[in-house]
Amino acid sequence: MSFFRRRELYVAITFITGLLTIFDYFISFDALNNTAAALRNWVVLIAYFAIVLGLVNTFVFHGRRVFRKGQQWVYSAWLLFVVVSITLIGIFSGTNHPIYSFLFTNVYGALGPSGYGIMAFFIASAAFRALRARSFEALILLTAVVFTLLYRAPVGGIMPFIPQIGDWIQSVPSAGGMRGIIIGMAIGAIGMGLRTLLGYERGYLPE
Amino acid sequence: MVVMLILMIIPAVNPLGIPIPISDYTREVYNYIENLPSGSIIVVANNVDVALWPEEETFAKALFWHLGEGPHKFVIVNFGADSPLLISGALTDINFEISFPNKKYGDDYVLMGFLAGGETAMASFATNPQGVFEQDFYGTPIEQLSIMKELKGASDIDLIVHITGSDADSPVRQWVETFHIPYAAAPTIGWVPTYMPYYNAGQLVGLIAGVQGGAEYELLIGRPGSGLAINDALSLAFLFTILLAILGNIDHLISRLKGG
Repeated sequence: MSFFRRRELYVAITFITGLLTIFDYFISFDALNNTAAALRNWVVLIAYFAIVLGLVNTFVFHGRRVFRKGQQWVYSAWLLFVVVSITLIGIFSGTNHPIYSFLFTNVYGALGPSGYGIMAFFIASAAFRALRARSFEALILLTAVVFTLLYRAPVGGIMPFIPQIGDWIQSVPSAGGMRGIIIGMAIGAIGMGLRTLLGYERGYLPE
Repeated sequence: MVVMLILMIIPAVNPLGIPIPISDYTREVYNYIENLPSGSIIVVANNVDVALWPEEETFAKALFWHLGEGPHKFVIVNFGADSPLLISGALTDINFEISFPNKKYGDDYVLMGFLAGGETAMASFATNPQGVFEQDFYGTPIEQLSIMKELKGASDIDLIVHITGSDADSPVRQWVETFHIPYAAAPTIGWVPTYMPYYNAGQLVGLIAGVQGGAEYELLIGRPGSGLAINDALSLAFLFTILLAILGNIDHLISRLKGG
């Protein structure tokens, strides 16, 4: 097997770079700290390349659909047209150009939040249809929803007792529950990190 | 749903002026900035995208007003791809250059571009702020920006204000616990419970809860604006949702009494 296709090579690279990054946190030693800083800068560069890779994948996927006149190929063609147009405008005119700014602010900037804005109507509809106290647990859920909405509504701040009770719920049981989730996630991340460093997690390795 | 739409449009056209109490964690951010020594460097970090920008825009503009009026310097760093243009637009909307002629770009404030890499980018920036950028958002080489010459490392950062849609863990891990940089977060309202453990543990100097926190900050700096109108709409929408829930349960009760 070619040396560069041996799994042990990639596991070793993962192990060494992982250890370097971990030791950088605990040990103050110029050569180590500078190496770890360089590795972090490389990750930033790789992230930029990942964006380009995502763009290439978009072109391949949607380009294939357009070429083969697949399902809803018209939308794929429109997507590719928009991506190419905005990219060319940004590259040749700059992101401060009035046309680019107009498209970003008045098209993208309007459509983006609209998706979230529609949620308000879905939630209102769900409040009427789904938040019904059919059982004791549903009654508790309904009470929690109503109370949370009152607490989070700016007008709830001037209602009696709502702010005080809401602050207590947010600071004590809610924060406590969230703290447990965060600690659990952190322990899981440590376990996953150890498995990756020691080579037990092999999802990123070549086949 | 038409009713919901009307309830949200009315305050936008004619603000109702529903009073908003100022929460302690918003006031703590304001007081922290006020109490910083003159010439302190504040990093305004952003990784909010376009979809969540309406919730963060209010605080962003209020913060820039506050920083423009104050004696501090600030560096705007963007960890989201949409953030540079959004922040640039916010500065333009409040006419920052004209409103604060005493603030010179490059010396007192600067807008850096997008730094990809998420948590790793945050760590890289805190380790070596000068090393991760070659130029600012407008293409000016970093050597020509005197404020960046003052920012050699994490110890030169007096406060990070993080305008974010989410992402509670990464900044605390990389900025607070590793470099002990004072940190204030401005997440969307839905993410406030996630930040509460960190706030309760003293790892945050304060918290700005979405558009509500933005409106509170507008009141603190004495410049009530669009945030208050948005909060009026929020209040009406939330109350209407509660009313719908109550009506739904009344409908359910009537159905049960009828034997349905």
